[in-house]
Amino acid sequence: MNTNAGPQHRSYIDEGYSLKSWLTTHDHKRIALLYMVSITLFFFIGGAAATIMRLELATAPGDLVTSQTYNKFFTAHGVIMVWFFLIPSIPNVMGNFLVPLMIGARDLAFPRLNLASWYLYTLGGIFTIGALIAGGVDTGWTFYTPYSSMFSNTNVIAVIIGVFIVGFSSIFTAINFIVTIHKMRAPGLTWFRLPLFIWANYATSVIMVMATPVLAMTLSLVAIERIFQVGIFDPALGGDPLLFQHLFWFYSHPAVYIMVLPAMGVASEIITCFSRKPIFGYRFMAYAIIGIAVIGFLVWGHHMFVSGQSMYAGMMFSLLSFLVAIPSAIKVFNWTATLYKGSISFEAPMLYALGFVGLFMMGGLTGLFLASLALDVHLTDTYFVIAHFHYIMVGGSVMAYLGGIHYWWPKMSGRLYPENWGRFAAIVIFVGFNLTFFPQFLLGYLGMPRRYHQYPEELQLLNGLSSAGAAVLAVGYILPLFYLLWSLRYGKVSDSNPWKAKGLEWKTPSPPIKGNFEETPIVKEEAYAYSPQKS
Amino acid sequence: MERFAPFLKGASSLSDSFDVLFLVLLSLCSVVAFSITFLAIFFAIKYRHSSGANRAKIRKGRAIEFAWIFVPLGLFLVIFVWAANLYIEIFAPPQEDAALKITVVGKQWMWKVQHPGGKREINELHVPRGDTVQLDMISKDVIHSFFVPAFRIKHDVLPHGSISIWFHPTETGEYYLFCAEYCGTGHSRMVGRIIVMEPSAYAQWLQE
Repeated sequence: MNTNAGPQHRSYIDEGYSLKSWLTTHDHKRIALLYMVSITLFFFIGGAAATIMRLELATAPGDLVTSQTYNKFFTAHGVIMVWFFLIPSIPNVMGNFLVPLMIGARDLAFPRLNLASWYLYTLGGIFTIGALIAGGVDTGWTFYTPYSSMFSNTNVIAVIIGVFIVGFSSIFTAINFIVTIHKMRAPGLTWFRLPLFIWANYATSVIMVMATPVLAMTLSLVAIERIFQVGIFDPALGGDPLLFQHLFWFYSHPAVYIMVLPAMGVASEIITCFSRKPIFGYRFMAYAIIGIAVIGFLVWGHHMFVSGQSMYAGMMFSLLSFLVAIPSAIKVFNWTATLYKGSISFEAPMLYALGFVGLFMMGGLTGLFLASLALDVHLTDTYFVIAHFHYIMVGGSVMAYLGGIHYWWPKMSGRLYPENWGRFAAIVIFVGFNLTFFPQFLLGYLGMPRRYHQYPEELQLLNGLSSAGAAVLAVGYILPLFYLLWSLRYGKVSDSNPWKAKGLEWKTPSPPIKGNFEETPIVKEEAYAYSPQKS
Repeated sequence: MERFAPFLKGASSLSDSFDVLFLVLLSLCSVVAFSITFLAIFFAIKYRHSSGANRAKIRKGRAIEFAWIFVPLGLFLVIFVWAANLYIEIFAPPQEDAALKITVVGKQWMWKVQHPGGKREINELHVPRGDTVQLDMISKDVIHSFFVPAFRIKHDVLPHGSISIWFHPTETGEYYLFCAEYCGTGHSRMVGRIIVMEPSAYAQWLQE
């Protein structure tokens, strides 16, 4: 391959400024930026839907929008945030950018497939946004049958097509990562020298390849029933609605791990760097990632404890759900132990990472309530569940995503973000997040069902707190958008390794050259070879 | 209707067992959450970059790693068995003939109830205190879910077959009945009342 990398270090950004040079690029770093722009756009669209919901729920009666409109907003929020933001967030932005850099490769194994993945994502996004503009869809992101297949009068098919297509972008990226990590590691970079971020993206990719096709099939079956009236899920046609739930959660439970495993990888990178210490229990951390990925496939039925599934199936799924909590607990303990005798500094990425650990822990612990069969009977389908999974996916994954964006921003852009603004935003987000979602645990315990457009007046106070928190959270999310863009022009120029971090991605200039490395690096040390005493 | 207080009122034979398990797990999780938070903050301050704390000799903690695998595992198993036992109780149908059997039909967006004598009501369910009540439920259209927070019970109501749940009300009063499974436009209006009456009052009400 011909690279123009000379001593002057022409960066990947300088390879071309035209729109065409971006839309036809095969460089994994540029594709990562394409993804970053797209998912940021979707994040704010999904966030706007959430804003309407929290405004409506600020008061008990359903008076801001109609029930039908409210239902369309929570559906749009779920569909967009799950498939167009959370699932592609860390893998497709940071993974795309960093997997080759971290393993000393020049690109991903299949650069064209990588670009195709972004185009599929965009096409899926167009279908989905089109469906929303054309009037929306009101099934909830879970598409439960027979409501979605036979009863809803909204644009179910268009959204299903959108999600179906975007699934293939996941699969393409996952195949790319798996092959790249197997075949293109630098000399000396053995499996147990890999950064945990790579382990996490590897495990995530395996889940994507195995689970996403099931989602595609399931949604296709919904479409077939809807269009041709073939009885698959609707009992009136001879189908079984629980079949849908089994198939749907077979994908959608592992999908939670697609969202959170990469976040765990990011947190591990950041915590070691700003503690100046190797991660505590590296091997256990790697095994825990694999453990979560494997057991995560066997717990889907815990979404169905009151659905009519057999009592004995419920007991198996409950037991397995407790088991999958073990590796997650190990990770929290090990991150905490990594701080012990470290040399800790509190730059913005570290604040995000510590926030991630705290919020993920809260999400995990409340998950135990939902895994406990008799408790789940009361708590399922209430705001307790909403709070729980937002602690994991927003408190966990979004915090880690933002931490990662700050941590690798100098590498991606060549500029430093303004440190105090970064810290300030991290704190605003942490406070706003807790204010938004902690009251929802109480609401759920008190019995407020999810997806309610109006609710009993006694719940006004807690809902008001939650809406107020959402306003704080919104400010926290908008801040980085401004100062990060500002830093592209006015930020201090970064050297190749502003954090004095370990890892191959810091051994190449910031921003990196087109082919990543002028010479293939040779790895001679373990991951995270930090020493708290020297620096 | 009941006022929502910080603690949810219980009104069935199951609510006390639920509350005990809930509080035990809550205490356990709080201890863990506070310990981890305390340790993280303590380490973060003691070993901050500028401090001169001793950082020599970091031991490899194999033993502690196994400890924090197996101690949580043991606790989890205890909670699992406890919760599963209660779940079996929730599932176990009451002694067939002893129960008062009431039919419930869920449809977009209302609850239709029929009492044994043929008396019908909509979005209200009158039951006598102290009796075991069995509900035989089916849906006319999509999936609904019958949820009474004060009784700590919930079960999906399916369109393809009747399912039964039971409860044993212990306190008279009015309690919320919610539809907990999203069922379309009027989902949040599919709300009713459970009215628990003294048996004599119930008998009289049936006659009305």
